[in-house]
Amino acid sequence: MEALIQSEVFQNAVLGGTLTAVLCAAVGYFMVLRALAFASEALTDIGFAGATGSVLLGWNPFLGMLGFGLATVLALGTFGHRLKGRDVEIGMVLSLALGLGVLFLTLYGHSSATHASSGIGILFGSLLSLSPSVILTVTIVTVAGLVVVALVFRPLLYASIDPGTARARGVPTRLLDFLFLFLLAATTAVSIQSMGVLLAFALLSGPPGAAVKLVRHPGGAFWTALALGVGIVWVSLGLAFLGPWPRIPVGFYVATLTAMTYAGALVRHRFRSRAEPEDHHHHHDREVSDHD
Amino acid sequence: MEFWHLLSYPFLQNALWAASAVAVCSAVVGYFLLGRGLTFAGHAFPNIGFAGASGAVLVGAPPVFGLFAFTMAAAVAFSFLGREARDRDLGVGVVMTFCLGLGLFFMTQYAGYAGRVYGILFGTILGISPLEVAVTLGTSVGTLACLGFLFRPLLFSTAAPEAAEARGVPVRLLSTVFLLLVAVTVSLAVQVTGSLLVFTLLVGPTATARCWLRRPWAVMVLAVGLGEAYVVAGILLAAWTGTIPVSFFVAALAFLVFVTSRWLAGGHRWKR
Repeated sequence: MEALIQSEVFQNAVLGGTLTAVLCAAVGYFMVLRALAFASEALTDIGFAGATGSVLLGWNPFLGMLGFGLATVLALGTFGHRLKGRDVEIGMVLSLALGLGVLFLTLYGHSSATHASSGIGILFGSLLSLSPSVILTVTIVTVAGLVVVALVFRPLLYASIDPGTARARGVPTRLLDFLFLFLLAATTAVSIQSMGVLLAFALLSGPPGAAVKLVRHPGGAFWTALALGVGIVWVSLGLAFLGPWPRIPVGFYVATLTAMTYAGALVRHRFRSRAEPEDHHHHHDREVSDHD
Repeated sequence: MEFWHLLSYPFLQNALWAASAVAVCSAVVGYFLLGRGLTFAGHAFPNIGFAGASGAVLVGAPPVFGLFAFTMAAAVAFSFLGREARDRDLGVGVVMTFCLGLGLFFMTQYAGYAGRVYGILFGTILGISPLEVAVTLGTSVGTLACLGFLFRPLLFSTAAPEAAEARGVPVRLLSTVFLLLVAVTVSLAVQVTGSLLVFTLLVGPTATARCWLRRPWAVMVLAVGLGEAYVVAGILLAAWTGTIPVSFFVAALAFLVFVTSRWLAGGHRWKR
């Protein structure tokens, strides 16, 4: 046990996993309020193109992902808060990103024999293979992201829940829309580093989605999301390191626990709203979804 | 290599037949998918199918069984998710990442088959067998026949769900049946384009066609034509270059044509 705690793999996994969970939950909370699930999923696939492209060109994959993500956000951000109705446009960008990723991977394959496995590595990264340099970038981006969230927390919350009124009250909603998309791009890049492209969305969507269903008060829901995210990562790492099944990957635990948490929250929410049908939570739900 | 000479190769003819069938099905299914606001589900299905296929490979079954089993189970799950877009998208995303986690689990239990998994993700259209072509053609005809049979109620419940419900159309049942048809189409298409790019064939043609036309029939016909053009051009270009995958050409073409159309049509048809 002591040897495990002192091992570098364990320390990196716990540090990287915790930071990723915190950032994903903090940014994911606003993602849920803004109904940008599909846009975030698209950003993870754009990260795939960014990562494979940078590997091909010999760049730092993280910077490549960030670059691709920010460029996409600049293009999509012109839709502003109306982005949530733009599934088709987002979908087309996503499909191009996947196509580019496949192209980069193929071209890379011709210069190296480890084609297939390097591709699988990017698609399914692992918390257990985080290098010290990756930990450093993850730490810097997470701290910076959390500082930004803390600085704009109240106006961002206001603009996310009720953009119309927020704008009328003088909140710079358009600026916040862009700022939030930048945050989302940085967060997906961090999440891809820790979880791989295909599972990056798990920590971003599950814990905040469950928290919003469980807790009515915005601040409470925010902290619940953080606690759920960190809890899921810790339990997953515990199972991976101490569990009796050494061949089961951490990503599987994270994805399964996320799905169970979300399903549990949905069931609880349904029972509660059946018990008190006219509570203000429903009103709040409608308010959020009406501002297209 | 002589470009037109390519057409005489049997492997290329197989690829063209199978891809054409998939393109027609995907374009028609895609029309309803977009109309119902299920774009994200269209992206999730192929990823879910990927998990099923890798599970099947693990137990030694043909991947297509796993594909069908997982996508159909997901279709049933999605039909319970409700109508509100915000909740539905999150639910779809969580189901999808759960399945991808399962896929990762299956992969790690079976050492040394990255190559086959890779084939599921990126497609093996240029290596498809005559039997697979026959199965693909048969299933596509079946799917299209179902869609033709359900055409009017499906269109009605897509365009105006409340009105359809009031008129006695079984909206919930239709929605489940439709999702099952999407599952079939995706399972077929995964083998052709790979799970990462099924989505392009589902969304690309209809997205572009909707820029230019309004009437459902017209949009569908144009979408089918566009889908056909993308896969044929993609396959020929891929065979011609020899190294670059079909899916890249299909995605790039679909994107370019969509962006051009969106720009030329001025987007005015999009404002609802």
